Amino acid sequence: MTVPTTTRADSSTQQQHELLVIDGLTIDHVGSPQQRGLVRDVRLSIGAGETAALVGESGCGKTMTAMAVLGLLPTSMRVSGGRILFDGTDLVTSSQRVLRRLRGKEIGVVFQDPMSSLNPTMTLGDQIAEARRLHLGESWRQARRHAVRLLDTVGIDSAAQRARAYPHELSGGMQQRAMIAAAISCDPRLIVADEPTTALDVTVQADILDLLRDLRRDRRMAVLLVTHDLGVVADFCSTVAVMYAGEIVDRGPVQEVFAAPAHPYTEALLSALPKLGRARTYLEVIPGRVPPAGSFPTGCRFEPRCRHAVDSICREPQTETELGDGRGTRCARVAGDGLTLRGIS
Amino acid sequence: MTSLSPIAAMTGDAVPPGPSLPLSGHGRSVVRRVVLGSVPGALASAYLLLLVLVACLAPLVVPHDPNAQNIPLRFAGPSAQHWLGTDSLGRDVLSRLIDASRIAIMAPAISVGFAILVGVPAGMWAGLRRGWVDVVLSRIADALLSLPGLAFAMAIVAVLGPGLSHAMIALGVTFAPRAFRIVRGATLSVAEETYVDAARAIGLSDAAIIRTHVLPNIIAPLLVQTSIMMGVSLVAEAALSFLGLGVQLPDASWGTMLNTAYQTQYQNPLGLLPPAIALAVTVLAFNSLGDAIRDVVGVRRTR
Amino acid sequence: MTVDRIEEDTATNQAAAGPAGVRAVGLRKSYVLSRSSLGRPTATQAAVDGVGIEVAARTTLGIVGESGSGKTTLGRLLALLTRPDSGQVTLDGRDITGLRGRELKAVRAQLQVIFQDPYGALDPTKTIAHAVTEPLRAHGLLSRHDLAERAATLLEAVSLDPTLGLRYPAELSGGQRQRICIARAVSLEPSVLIADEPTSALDLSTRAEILNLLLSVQERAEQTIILISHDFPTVQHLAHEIAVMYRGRIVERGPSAKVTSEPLHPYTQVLLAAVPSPDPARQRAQRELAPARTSGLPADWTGCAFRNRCRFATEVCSQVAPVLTEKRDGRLVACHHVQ
Repeated sequence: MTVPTTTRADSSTQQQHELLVIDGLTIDHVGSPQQRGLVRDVRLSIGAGETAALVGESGCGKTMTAMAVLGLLPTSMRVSGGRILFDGTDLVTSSQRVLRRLRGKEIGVVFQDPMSSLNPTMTLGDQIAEARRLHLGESWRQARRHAVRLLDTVGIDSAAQRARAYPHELSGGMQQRAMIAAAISCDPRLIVADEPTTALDVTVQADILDLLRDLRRDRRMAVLLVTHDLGVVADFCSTVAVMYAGEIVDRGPVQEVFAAPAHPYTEALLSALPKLGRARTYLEVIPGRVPPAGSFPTGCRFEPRCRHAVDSICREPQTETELGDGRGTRCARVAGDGLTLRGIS
Repeated sequence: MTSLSPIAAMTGDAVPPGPSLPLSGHGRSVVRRVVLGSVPGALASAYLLLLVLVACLAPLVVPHDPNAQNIPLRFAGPSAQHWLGTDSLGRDVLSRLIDASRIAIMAPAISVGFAILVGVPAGMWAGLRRGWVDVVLSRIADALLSLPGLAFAMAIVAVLGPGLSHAMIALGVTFAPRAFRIVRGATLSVAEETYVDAARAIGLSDAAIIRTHVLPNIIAPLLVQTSIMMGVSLVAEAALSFLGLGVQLPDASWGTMLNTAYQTQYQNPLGLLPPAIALAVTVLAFNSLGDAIRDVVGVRRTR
Repeated sequence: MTVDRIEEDTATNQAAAGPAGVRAVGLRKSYVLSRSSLGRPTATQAAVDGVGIEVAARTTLGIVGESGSGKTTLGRLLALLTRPDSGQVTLDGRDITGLRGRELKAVRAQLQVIFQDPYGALDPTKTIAHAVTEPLRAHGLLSRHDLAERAATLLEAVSLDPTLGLRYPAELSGGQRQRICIARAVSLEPSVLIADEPTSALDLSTRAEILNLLLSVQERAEQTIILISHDFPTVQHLAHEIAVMYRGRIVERGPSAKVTSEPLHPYTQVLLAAVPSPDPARQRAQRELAPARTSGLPADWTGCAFRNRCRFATEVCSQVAPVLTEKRDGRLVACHHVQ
């Protein structure tokens, strides 16, 4: 069951063709029977040209979900349930050959650390051209020409010269731009970006986000953004799904989720942020720690740390409930008990 | 398997890159895990312990006087009297083997001990201080490393005269630069760590920092290197003694025993076996111990 | 550099007047980028370029900047972990720049540091109790006999379970380790605490804990605190005053609330506009402010280092480097175009 993703920004399109649908994805650790449900029952869909965010702290499973979409899960993990439909094709059951065809051509990837994601022994131009040669069968000359154009598009000046440079000769911001150029080189319909700006300065981050915004608009690309930075999400994405301990606990249009969260974890995250203009006040801290994989509670996974917890309701296994208008929550108290939470004021 | 031909080892070609990993598990539990953690480790530890014991108690344990000749009984095969037979002069092979085990322990101890005594402080100093100290010491170490080890040892012995201690010092000089390199490399990476900065910020002197924070964190690769060097130096001692440059006949060393057996190999081909096997097994034990140490302490720091 | 970059004496604008506190004048530190074959430096980069700074006692100064701003180097210079090429650092009026040996050690007891990396700041071969009591023991203020007990007290003061003293750093989380680092730093009750990106390596919810802890340290101990970070919200959360650094120079300084709500220097404006906020109203307002950005550094070092990215840049900006001067109500700005 998918959650509709009509947003204010894209409401002009009549019918949303869901480009990516993650339906009940569950990921287990191979060989460790305790570590089941590292990612559990994740549902998400993105339409063409939309921006969705997967937000959470480290260890929540957001990167694993993204890797599952790309078919790049480590061998110690495996998808044990659910489907990932990309334009109708189930990526979970597809062969490596099919996945290889999709990766780079239909789905572009931007990783967190450009320095380790770019090949230090190849020039930038060649790396960008590689995908086009592979997927579109272009010659080196054609592909390289296109690469120069792409570098220009992503805002790298003297693109022709830079194309002959090696990654280490560029600054972090430039490298990330080059990565984006490589990701969009074959005009993919979906970009999966895993913490693309975390390692960058904040002004450079703003530039990169602007770039992604422009590219998205010009090419009708969908973007799945995985991050822990709520500010980036608010700035860039139209919908957000908040993950905790392997599950999506809160989802919906970004403004609404932040203004009126539907899960205590979202509420807690928002109040833990230092805010400009609110100096020297004590922030609300989430007590306890994220449960380590393998010892998740059977009921609500957030219950031990939740200040709104009520034993009778919260010790039961929680399922996702739709609240209408694209909102969803995994909190039984919000869904059925009338609990209202505080958002960003 | 960390196996190095003694020549290669002494010419410094095969310097294994030791990652700077701290002793995870600390002290007693590390020893326990090394000794009991794996079959090779356990066997190696047991053997070496036994060897040390035998070497210490050699005079009490030998069935016969190792130097007592008995010409009529030369080249005798194994018997109840002589478990491993006799050599070309009728001397009991087993007694000589046991007697020689003292050398087998002492020689590596001296040479490796010398190398560590010189190489480790120099390496730590160079790694922490950098600057001209590092430049000078590194160049000296490079120069020493470029000399072919065995030939250099022979040259030193030629100058000082033959004898065990001279040979061992010579070996020690060739090993010191290796210890220096390993320790310097490990110190360099430890010096980058934030906890060293933190120790400075607290007010600890460089000496205190080396003692408290650097040494425990570089001891792991050092231990591995030490056990490797022990094996190498043992073979080197045997080589020198074989050539007549180390232990002098009639004193027993596995090297001199090899020499004696070699001279008379046509009459008693099997005579080469006891010392050769003893050497091989002991070097194997040293290397296995080194492997076991590396397996135990080579645990990545988890984030 | 021919222009004198020493900050003018601005005793008038301090929150709590008085000679106490940390003061630095004309600090300069360069790093060598390349050397000739003989070892002679051929290209150098000034990490800190003539910085003068004054932190009044018992206040918190936040230093904000991005990578390359020199803020970390400045922090190290103030903490005496690095020697400046030129310039002076004074503590409570006393020049502590060139100290060595025992004198330096004595001063160190007053200048403690909290580092960015909680995972690397603790020696993995030492127990927590050992780590947290190390400063006290190093200065002879604690005997081995009392080690365990004192460690327990220190841990409790930062809301940690006292039995953690027996554990090793590898067994603890990032947040716990950072707490231990803070406990260690305050154990000597130093008059100055320098915190370099104390929360950057931590998760969102852990950051809040550490910020709260720093807040309570600030309130309880009345220390002078210098907080260095690239994150504006973090800095303004704790600081009374904020100094913004760009390319080795301080470009703006003033009361925290003022700098945040009414940034005067063009770079500060760019920096604030770039901080994404989950607050949608604020985010929209910020987007409108965002000025046009051109990339790149000026080819040479004369003039203002920000001129290539500045929408107000004119001829004078490439000729004369602006000096940090007081513009109004205790606001210091280094720009030719701000009144």
